[in-house]
Amino acid sequence: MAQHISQPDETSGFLHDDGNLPGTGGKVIGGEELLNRIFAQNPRQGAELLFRKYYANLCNHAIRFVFSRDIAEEVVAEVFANFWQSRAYEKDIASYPAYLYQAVRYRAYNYLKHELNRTAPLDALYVRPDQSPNPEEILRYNELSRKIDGFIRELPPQCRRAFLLSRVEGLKYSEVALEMSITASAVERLISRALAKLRQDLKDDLKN
Amino acid sequence: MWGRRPPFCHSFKRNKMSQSIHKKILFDFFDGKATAIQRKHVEEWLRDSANEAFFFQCLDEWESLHPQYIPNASPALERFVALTKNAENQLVEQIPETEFEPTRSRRTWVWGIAASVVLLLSSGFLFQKNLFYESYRTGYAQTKSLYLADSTQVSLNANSTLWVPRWGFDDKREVLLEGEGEFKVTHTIDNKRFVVKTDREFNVEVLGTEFVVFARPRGNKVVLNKGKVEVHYQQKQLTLRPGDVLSLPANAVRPQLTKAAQPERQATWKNHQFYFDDAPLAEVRHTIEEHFGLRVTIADSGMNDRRLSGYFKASSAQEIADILSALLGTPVALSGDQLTISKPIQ
Repeated sequence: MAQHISQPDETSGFLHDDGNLPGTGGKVIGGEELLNRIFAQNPRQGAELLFRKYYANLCNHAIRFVFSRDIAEEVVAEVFANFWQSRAYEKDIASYPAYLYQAVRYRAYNYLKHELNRTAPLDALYVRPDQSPNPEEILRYNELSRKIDGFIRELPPQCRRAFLLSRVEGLKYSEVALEMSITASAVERLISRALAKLRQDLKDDLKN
Repeated sequence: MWGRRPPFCHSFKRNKMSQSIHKKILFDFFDGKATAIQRKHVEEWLRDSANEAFFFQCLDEWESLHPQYIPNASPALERFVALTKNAENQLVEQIPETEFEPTRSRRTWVWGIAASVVLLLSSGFLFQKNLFYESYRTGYAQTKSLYLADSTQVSLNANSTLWVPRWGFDDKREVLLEGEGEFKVTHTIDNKRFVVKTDREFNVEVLGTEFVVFARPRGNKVVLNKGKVEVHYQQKQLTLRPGDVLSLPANAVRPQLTKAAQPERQATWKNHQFYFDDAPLAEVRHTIEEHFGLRVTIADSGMNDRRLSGYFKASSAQEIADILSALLGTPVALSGDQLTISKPIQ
């Protein structure tokens, strides 16, 4: 599977001698193992490197579910805070992207579920369960994000605009009203219509 | 939420699947373009939890190719760093100073400080380089194709090394090259520059384009196939247009700008092919030496002016020896890493 991506040759330093084939003469350390070593020596440096590497992409992933910049960034910040506070790095993580993406998905999903169905109890599912997630579940998250995207595309133009300005850009109803030259109560109606439709569309996906 | 994982697990099938998944299928799936059969295939493949890492690694790459917006990471990073510092202080207070073993907990803490000091002391240049960059290398007669985190495609020629930041690119995409490589640089939404540095003062800066960089002891060269690049050398800069070749031989002061007749042929080495356009034997000799790690001796200095043209395929030193022999009409002997081109037989 990964043969299309060349594996980095960890054995060669900056001052290497030419002529060795990659991967010969020495132990090959994977990126994950290297991170584990950094965490063992200096957890803060490890956490900072991890944050720098994944923060932007994770926000972009989270926004597919929560369609709001502020919430997406909050979700990702919470995942990192939780990662740090639970000392997750002490548990020899096999894949940091797998850990982070799944944690962001659970959290974003729970946020969405809670928002659309206030009566549903908010799951305290922030930490990834210990058992390996089911592959179907991994794929369903991707499909759910596409479904949400499709839903936004299909909203009537006015409704979509109000929804995106308010959600993604984080504008207040009054600011959206100004931007769209309509009244604030009209904005509220458009947005609640969008949310009602979203609730209806995702009814089956957000069921427990 | 979506049902539990079925107990079905068949190791034979799993192995077979893990061999046959392709990144392209995953990307199609993320794009919502995968067929039901492909989706099933991915699902089967994911049953092997060892494949999960690759799945999320590809998802991360796909996200970086399809950014919805560019978050401002600096304040978030500051808050996170503050949190880690804060938590560490709290940890100190939380260390239970039990009456029975007061020294033990204190010692643990002192050890923690010692470890971080050691890390700081050992962050010399070499350590930094290894920590912050990962290297991709090719041996003689070996070429390699790879994708960087931003999906830029790089083909490395034989006997070359590329250093890439291990933790992703910052505000600039910078890589370091020794040897020869072809780059197909992706364009990013925020117009992030892509810079290929070489160990001499010869850097190539681009915005989404295709080009070949050559950085070997005998000189530096850039051939542009598509797009636009800026070459920075000796505090000067020059903009190249498609088809331009800029070479800076090791002993030369000034670079030479020429036109490549067929720029797309500059990286034929990707398929172990060689393209020479009326090239003097002296130049062909360098190419062979660099690619196969051979020492080439030309017995008759009069032959240095012989010129070669054409398109050859050779994946081993013996094959290139045979080809040269046929082209030049002279015996060419290969012995160890010595390749000797004899005088023509009269």
